[in-house]
Amino acid sequence: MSATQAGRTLEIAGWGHAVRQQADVLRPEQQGRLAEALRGPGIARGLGRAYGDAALSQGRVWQTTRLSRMLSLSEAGLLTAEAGVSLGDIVRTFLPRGWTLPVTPGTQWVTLGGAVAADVHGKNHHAAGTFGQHVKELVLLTADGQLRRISPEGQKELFWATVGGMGLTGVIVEVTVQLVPAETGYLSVDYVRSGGLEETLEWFSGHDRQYPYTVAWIDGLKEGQGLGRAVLMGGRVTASRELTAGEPRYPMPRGAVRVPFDFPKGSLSLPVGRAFNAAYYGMHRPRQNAREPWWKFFYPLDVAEDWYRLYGRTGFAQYQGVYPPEVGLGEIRAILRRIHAARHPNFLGVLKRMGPASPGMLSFPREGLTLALDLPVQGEGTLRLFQDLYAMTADYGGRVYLAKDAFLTPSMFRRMYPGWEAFLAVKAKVDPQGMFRSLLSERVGLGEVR
Amino acid sequence: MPPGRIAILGATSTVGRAIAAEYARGGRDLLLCGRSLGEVERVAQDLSLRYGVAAEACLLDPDLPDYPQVLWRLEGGRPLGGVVWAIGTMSAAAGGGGPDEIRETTWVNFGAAVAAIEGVLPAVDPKGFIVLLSSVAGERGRRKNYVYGAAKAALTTYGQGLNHRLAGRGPRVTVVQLGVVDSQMTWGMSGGPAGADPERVARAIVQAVRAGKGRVHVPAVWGPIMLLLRLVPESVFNRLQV
Repeated sequence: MSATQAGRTLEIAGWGHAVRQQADVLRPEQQGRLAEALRGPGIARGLGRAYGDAALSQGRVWQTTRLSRMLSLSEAGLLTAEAGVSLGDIVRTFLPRGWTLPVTPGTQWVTLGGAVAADVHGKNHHAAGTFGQHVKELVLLTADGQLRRISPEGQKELFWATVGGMGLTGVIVEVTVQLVPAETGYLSVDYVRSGGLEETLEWFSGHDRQYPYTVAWIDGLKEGQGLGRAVLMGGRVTASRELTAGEPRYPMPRGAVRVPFDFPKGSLSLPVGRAFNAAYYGMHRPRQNAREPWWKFFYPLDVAEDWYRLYGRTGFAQYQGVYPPEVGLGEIRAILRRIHAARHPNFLGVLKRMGPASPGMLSFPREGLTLALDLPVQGEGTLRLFQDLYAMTADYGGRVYLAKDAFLTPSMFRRMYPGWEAFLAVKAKVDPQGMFRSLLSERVGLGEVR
Repeated sequence: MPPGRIAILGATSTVGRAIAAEYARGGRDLLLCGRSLGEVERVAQDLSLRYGVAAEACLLDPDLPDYPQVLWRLEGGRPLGGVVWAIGTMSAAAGGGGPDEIRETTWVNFGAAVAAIEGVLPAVDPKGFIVLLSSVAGERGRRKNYVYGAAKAALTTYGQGLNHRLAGRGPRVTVVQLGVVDSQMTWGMSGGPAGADPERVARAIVQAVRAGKGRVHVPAVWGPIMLLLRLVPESVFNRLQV
């Protein structure tokens, strides 16, 4: 009821915790209050799962997590909700009614607004595209204080600048997304082990049509013969007739484990990485039709909240690149070898073949292979490694994922994202003063509007 | 518990919304009231969508004396199962200020509550309940927020008196002495203790109401803290940075 709302000065970080920034953080609980709090410059922030600096700002940060009211679900499964609602909240609420998300990233702790701003993808990208491609309408609060209703039909340009636009066109306030029917809350998964990169890539080219969900966990540290060995997973939603009598059709998880403190520096060193990766590979014996509840298949890391703490105070960064379809064995091998040459530990490598690109001007996914590797930040060496990986990626005609990135430079960004000019043209119209900016936008040169 | 709807006065406040959600989770129909109808409607839509209960939004302005009658009309004469007062304000001038600020702080936190509860009382099922959200700030005045604290102390005393008056003959009254909650009100205040999670706070309040408690500290840890703080002699207290 007080006239003006106060922000809180907080040090906030990206999920990798390698980049930290003090900001004036506002967390409005009413839509009307958000508009009042808009005086920028600043950037919207959801649950803070962007790995680098996409949701950090030197000015204001509008945290949307309490703008989390679900507004309607049509009979056809069209959900309208405020942008601060988390994807996990949606699954828990609607899966028991037979509806689920069309696309989900590897964590459920992402807000709807974040999912749209990063135009996230999931294990079904080859079949279903990005999250943004299932969004029917957005309400966007723009720099002039207006709430604009935008859709792929109306204000098409602003829509596709906002989907994948990293929050730089305004604050996403409401999202209308098409949910999809879910016959059960289980997935039937085939696990296959590949002995090396060639086998891994072959599996993707052969099996993508067979499974709606595919992903490979790749041992990023294995050198020599077994380089690129992986555990390949192909999944489909389990049919209800496959359940045994009395089994809950839509199971729900219990609480998560917490990582209570930052692990000491060097916990995730090269030998630890090798042991971890070997253990993971050994654990996943080939199996057919293994049944997994939804959270184990889609969100394996959510089991441990705050898992970034395993990387200690200095944090970690992720390299995620996507390369055109003609890029294959040789190039992926070269990237892995570059990391090996740096003697740099890495964990949780993920490889997947993506389907056609999203119309989002700054959306990451495009047809071809994508490779993601988590790398603990170890000073200069890590930065040099990233710059080399960027150069290789750009040479292959690929790009890196802005929601994961922490170190990309303006020239590299422009090479990787030819849509940047179209994007800036839209931004110049809706945000001429450059009210919406993040450390990311300033770093890659999207901050200054011409 | 009687079957009538539960009215939440202040349904867009952090704790008000959380209490509403807790009752909705338990399958109770709701009458949600607040100053901004659009925002209250969003909360109502949210709770009916999530929990399948009927939730109606109604405009409430604590400055207008006739809204108890509005509630009556909305209920069509059917008694309310319970009423929760979840409105409060703490301005920067909570420890003083000019006449307007003092009037707003004391009126919204105390006078408006009394006017509302006295007004809606006849509409509440005699086997129902009344919840007043008060504050630990009312248990010992301190320099940062003593005007706010004084109003909350008055609210606590009012609740005790009402409980006495209604004992055995009317709805049960629960005065909740809230500690620091992670809310809209406390967000802008830097340096204080980390606030409690509103969902947990709401769960504890609903439990206390079900147990028929007249007065409860939420989170419970504030009971012993305030006991100690009340025992500190003035000569020592005045030197404390609290």
